[in-house]
Order: sequence, then structure tokens, then C-alpha cells
Amino acid sequence: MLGNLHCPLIYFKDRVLTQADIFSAAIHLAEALQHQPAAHIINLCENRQDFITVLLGAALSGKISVLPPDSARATLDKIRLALKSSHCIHDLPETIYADPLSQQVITKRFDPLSISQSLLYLYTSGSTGEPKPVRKTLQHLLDAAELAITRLSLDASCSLISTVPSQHMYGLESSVFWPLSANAPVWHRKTFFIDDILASLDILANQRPYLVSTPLHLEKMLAQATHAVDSPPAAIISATAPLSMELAQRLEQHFNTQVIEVYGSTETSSIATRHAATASTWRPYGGIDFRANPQQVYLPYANQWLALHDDIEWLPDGCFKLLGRRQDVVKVGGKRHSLVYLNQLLNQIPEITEGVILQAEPDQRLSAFVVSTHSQVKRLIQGVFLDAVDPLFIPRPIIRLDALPRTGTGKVQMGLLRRKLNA
Amino acid sequence: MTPIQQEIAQLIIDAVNLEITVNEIDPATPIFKEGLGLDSIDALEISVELSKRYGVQIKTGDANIEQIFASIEVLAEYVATHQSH
Repeated sequence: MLGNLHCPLIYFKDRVLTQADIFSAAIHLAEALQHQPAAHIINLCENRQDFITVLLGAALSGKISVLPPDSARATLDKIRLALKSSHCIHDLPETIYADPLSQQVITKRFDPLSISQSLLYLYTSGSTGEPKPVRKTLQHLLDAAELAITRLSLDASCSLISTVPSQHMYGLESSVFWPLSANAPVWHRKTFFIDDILASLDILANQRPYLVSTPLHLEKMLAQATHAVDSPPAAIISATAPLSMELAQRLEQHFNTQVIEVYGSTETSSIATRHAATASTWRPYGGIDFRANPQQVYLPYANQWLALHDDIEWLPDGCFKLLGRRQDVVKVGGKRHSLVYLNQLLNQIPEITEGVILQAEPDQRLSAFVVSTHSQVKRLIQGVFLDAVDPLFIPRPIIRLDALPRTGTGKVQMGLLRRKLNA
Repeated sequence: MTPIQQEIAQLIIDAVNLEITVNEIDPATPIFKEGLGLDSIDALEISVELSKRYGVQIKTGDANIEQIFASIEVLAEYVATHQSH
């Protein structure tokens, strides 16, 4: 668990917090949590330092960390109901970082045997749309990170800037476990606006910054940063949705850097990479194996076979090809949800006679076709979805029809609706 | 609405393909959620357009996205005080 305690772990504009600072804060928090009766700590922290401190503090005090997929009220209500006893933490007081402990105290408290088996539940949208926990131990995530940092050549000379929330598996890896495993610092915020990303790249210019992001963010970055930037990233890492070869090439050219695309899922963590500008096939991390069963992946550190959400084809050179998604799951802005559930949500609205949701392009916003005589039907849908799911899944446009087009057997003609959208 | 508020309302409508006209927008309405119903990905799209049009840097800095994008009024004020061209 413990790397080099003197290494900076969190980078700010004008200061750093070392691993020792964060581990000390986690020990202080754990003391406070001893008096907290709840068995589960729901970690809603946005800042990386608070997130890591709460994660480690929960482990030290014998609590289970819970990472929700979003902070929509209904999502949190469902998770809290399922957990029975839970406590939410949104942020920590700055003073918790002001009282660093000695190396001896930290090393003694972070007894590897006692915390490596600590549990984390990452919640994702299950096939029915109900939040479903994916269970991990701290040790699994550290082992997975070892494979990743080897492939990505991440070490203490590097730093990380991530646009992904820490509660998401890709964000958890890139903003917590890769930095801890590689002894590489991470930028303190989840960078969001392009100017925020460029400013953090400037500050970390001498620290070989890896920019960890998504195709959506990277495309916007190219659109805005039309001139050469002063401090290009040492590498760009992309995941959550397919990155086109064309976008990867433009990124490499404009930022004079390499773009590495990562493949994985909440269940498996990241398991493979490809050089998106030139390669269409994926190379698995060392020890990751598909050969025995192409619909499942073997994780050596967990000694476990796990099902994949995608169909894959194993190639003779040890690489694999993605053939497409298997389940009835849609992804928008890197977040996934059950399409069955979203359609149920739409059709439960009493003012809607019938309706159907579809996604015209992968990872793009959803559209809805509805039959309703209600004059404010769009507002109704917006309100219902806002309460139940991440706002990313609110359909737009919402198109009114007199009736849904159906085939002779009563199936909705999705192809026809798709063409209507593109018309 | 002031001219800059109208411009920004139109820029938002164009950037994220909202199916409404400028006249239907109250400049004090929240941009996110129950107001215009936009989300953080829309905010990213709008920030890129604002940067291109006005040379304004949109940064969260110590504020958060919801504060800058509170309403058309607030956003117009931000752009007016930060624009470089």
C-alpha cells in the first residue's frame, strides 16, 4: 500500500500534499469515523485529496467505501435503502491536512494486511436499471494499477490530470490507484473546462503530465485550443467511449504527443490498450487472458473470470478486436444506463400514451418519440428524468407523434424512427 | 434582455440545439436542471463557443460550474467582465 511517503501525491497551483500528508489525514479521519455507527461510507468527494483521504480513512476504520454512479437524489436514495446503514461525505475541512504524523506512526497504522482486504462497492446501472454494486478490494485495485502503470510507462517522473470523477472506475484508477502505485502526483481537481485543463498543464509542465480524459472532452479541447499550446501533455489517455482514429491522429499532431486508448469496465478495471492513431486492435495487459472463453476475461490478481459487456474476437497475435456491445445498455458521456429502465421511466408518466427512447449515435445524447396530448410533455419528461437519473440521460430532442410506427407484428419500427432523426 | 444577454441566449440555443427561441427565455432562469434543463456536457460545449466568440476564459477556479452557469444574467455578466475581444 505505502509507496514513497515523501512523494507529492496531490498538486495544487502553489503547493503540494505528499503521500504522508494524505495518509496522516486518513488516520485523523479514521479516528473520527470510529464513532460513526454506519457500516458504509458513501464517498461523494469531488476533490482528489478529499476523495483519497475518505477512501483510506474508511478502510482504516473498517468501513466499506461506496461510490455511487451519480449524485441524483433517486440514485442515492436507492443505494442508501439497499445498504441499510450508510453515511455520506461530500468534502473534508482543510484543517485535516494541517497535522502530519511521523513516518513511524503512519507505517504502523497502515498495516498492509489489515487494509488490503477492505471493500469498495462501485455502483453501476444494472441491466434492469437498478443500481448494482461491483465489489472490489483495495488490493485488487492496487494490483490492477500495477499492470496499467507498466503498460502506460507511468512512474514518479510523471503526473496525472484527469477529467473523470473519482467515483467512476476509470477515474478511480487514473486519479487514485495509478498515482499511488506509480508514486506520481495527481492534479487536485477534476479538471472540467478546457481552460482549466490548459492551466493545469502549464503548472505541471516539468512533471511530464499525462492527460486522462474522454473522446468528448478531447474533441472539445481540439476545437478550442486552435493555436499551439505552451505546455502539451506528455501523453493523452482516452477511455469510456470509442476514440476515432481520425481524432486520435489530429490530437497527436496538434499536441505533438502520443494518444493511448484504454479499454475496460467497472467489473474488470482497465485491461488493454491500443495506439488509437494507428491500431484498431487491443493489446491486453500482461497476465490478462481471454483465450479459454472469449466472452470472459481472466484477472490474474483476483484469480477470477469475469463476463465482458462487449463481444470480442481473439486474434492469433495475442491482441483482440471489439465486435460490439452485447447488453441492452446505452452510454452517454461515458456513463451507462439500462435502456429498458429508461423506457420504463418514460412510459410510467401517466400523460404519455406511449413512447420510446433511442440513441442515434454511440455515446451521443438520447432522443425520445412520444405520443401525448399534454401541452407541457417535454417539461414533464425533464422533471421525471431529473429526479431519477443523471441529467445526461434526459432525452433531447423529444419528438411528438400521433402514434408510434409499428410493424404488422406490433414491433416499433426503430429503423424508421432513426431515419426520422437523421432527416 | 440586454443585447449581450440576447447574444448569449442565442449562442446557447445554437450550441446545444435547444428547441426554443430567445424570447422564450427568462434571463434569470437557471441554465441547468429544472430551468433550461442543460447539464455539464452542455456547459462544456457552451464554454468552447464562448471562448471562440469572446476570447473569454471559462475556468472553474475556486468557483464551481453551477455558479458561473447560474443564469443567462450571471453568465452575461461573467463574459462582459472577462472578455478579451
